[in-house]
Amino acid sequence: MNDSTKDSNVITSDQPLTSEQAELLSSLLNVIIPPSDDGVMPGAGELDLVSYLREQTPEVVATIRQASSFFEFDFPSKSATERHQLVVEFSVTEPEMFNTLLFQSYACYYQNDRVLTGLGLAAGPPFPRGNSVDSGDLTTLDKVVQNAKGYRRV
Amino acid sequence: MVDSATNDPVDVLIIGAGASGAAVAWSLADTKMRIVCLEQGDWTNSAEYPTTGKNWEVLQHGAYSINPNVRGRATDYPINNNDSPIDVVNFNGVGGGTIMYAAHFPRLHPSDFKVKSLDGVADDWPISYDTLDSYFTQNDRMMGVSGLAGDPMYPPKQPPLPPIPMGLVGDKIASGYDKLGWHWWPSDSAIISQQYEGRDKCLNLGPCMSGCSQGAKSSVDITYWPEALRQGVELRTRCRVREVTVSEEGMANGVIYYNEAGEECFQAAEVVVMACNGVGTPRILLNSVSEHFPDGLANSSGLVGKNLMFHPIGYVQGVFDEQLDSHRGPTGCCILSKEFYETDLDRGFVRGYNMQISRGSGPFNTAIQGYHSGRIPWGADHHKAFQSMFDHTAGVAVLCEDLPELHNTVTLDPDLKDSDGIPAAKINYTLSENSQKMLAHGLARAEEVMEAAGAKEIVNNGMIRSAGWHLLGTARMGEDPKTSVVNHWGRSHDVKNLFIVDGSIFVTSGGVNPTSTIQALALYIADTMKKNLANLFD
Repeated sequence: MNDSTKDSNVITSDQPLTSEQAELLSSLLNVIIPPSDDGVMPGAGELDLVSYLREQTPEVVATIRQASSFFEFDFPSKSATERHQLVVEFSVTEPEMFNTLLFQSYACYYQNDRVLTGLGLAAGPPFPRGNSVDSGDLTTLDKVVQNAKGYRRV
Repeated sequence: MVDSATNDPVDVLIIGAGASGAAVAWSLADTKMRIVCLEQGDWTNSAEYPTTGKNWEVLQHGAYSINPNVRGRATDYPINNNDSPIDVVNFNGVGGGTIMYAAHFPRLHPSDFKVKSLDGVADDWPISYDTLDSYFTQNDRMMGVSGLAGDPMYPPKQPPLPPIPMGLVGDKIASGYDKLGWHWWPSDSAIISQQYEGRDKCLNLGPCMSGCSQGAKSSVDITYWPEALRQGVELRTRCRVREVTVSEEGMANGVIYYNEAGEECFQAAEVVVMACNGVGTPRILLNSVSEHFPDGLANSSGLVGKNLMFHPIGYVQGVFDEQLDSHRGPTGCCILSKEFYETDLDRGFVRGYNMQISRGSGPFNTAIQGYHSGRIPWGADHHKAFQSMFDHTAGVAVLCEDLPELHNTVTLDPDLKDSDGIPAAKINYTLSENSQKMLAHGLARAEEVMEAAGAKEIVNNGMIRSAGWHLLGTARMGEDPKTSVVNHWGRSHDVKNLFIVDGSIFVTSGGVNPTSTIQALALYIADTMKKNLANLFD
């Protein structure tokens, strides 16, 4: 577990994480959602998690901070295999906290414009843009009517 | 105690501004009586609904959850579901459950009103499909319903608007039904497919169940209520009713409620109408204890809070190779099948079920649900697994008719209370053997459909816990005061100026989403009240 009382670990009112915590968390999130091989999809750690956390409740920020404290600050310098193994161990020993970390990681990731456009979707919220949907093929309904048993008379 | 604003008795006091309360308020408004509706929640603002923000999917897990225990707003009351395999879901505010419903809008079938005569189970309703037929039509027009005439599984009906688009999901699953030779039809949906009554048509945003930012979903805050208010009905929000009070003669004479400041208030009334649905209505009646009614108001039969019916819902998901644009379009409205709706005892159970085809989730929910189901891992394989699921799924929800059983109940929790100190509702519910067999049959048929439609992977999720939308039967209607709570037009047998107009008066549940029928019932009861104004209490 890292030492959250280090001098550099100062949390200001508009900074939910210290720079060391942010670096660690970024590396941690890139294990949870790494960049895609083709480079289209960013890793979760490449996104602006700090801005995301600023919009969250203090309880969420505290949980994320607590989750990251289970990892040493040298986590980013470890090999990919070691980092993956450490996250697996964390998910087993602290399942509730891991699930919160995962939920927030996915929440941050899948509302990000870069991610949405990488998926071929429009950036931003659904409204007022909306979506187009094909009307569908109703031509086989004639056969449905022919085959149907009909409603039960009373 | 604080008296109400004027302290004058009102002619009609309606408790609850949801689907049935709005319909009855609108219908009674033309009598020019003084009508007040008390609603414990607020008006919602469509500009604040989740789809106006990037975090629209995340909000469905918190402030816009369908589960009041998760949502936990000040306007919600807690519900103890510990002794039930199904959690109650609802919304408390102007519009009630219609704010968060999927807007799938089928009617009960003619056979649903006569299950005792036809199948020898439960009881017949004291009214028939024909009794409600014109009110179904009136309600479709008021709400704005889209659909396609000609469904052979119903008597003739004409939805006022053409069906909402089926999309690639509808085409794909319909092909499965066609291969099997089974019935399917575009769903009747309380979502407007064209401009209607000043409202803009559906934009296919997707998540209807967290409120419709476009106003295309027909929730009663934008359909019935504006009309009722224009006609003089008064709607007071943040007024949580604790109990209905009675006179020395045993007639209802008003209600005690808490206002937003938590002050205890009294509103006198000549007529009280309960419109809080199958959990809220028995909760208030059971909490209305007096010398005349020591076991709760209108409860001489002992049936208030008993015979609770949900619709047990099972869910099968298919994953397809083809892109289906699953997250686009109304989540819960696409096509349906009534192939197994009517009784066939060779199936091993009585009565039947509706199959409701649903579309897929947005990216966040696809990922988080995929993680919890073990099908989309975190780590190196995340993207590949995600892309095989997102926009490649379709679902079949199997919605089973639930039969009334005395031991399925809504009671007052001895410990849990809401923020005003009113006892919370306690649910005791077990799934009957008949429902279990029906559910298993439906899930197996849903798997068949997915296979016939060409799904490369089929996931049977079994019964869904957080799906207790349909809250029925806890103050049933009937002609015999010993075996029912209200008569054939919703009037309490015990208290002749007390009416119930919501889902609690259902005798049986049918196998379809009930809102259309609840509202038709409310309109029918209001109309009958109007026809009997001169001798309403005789």
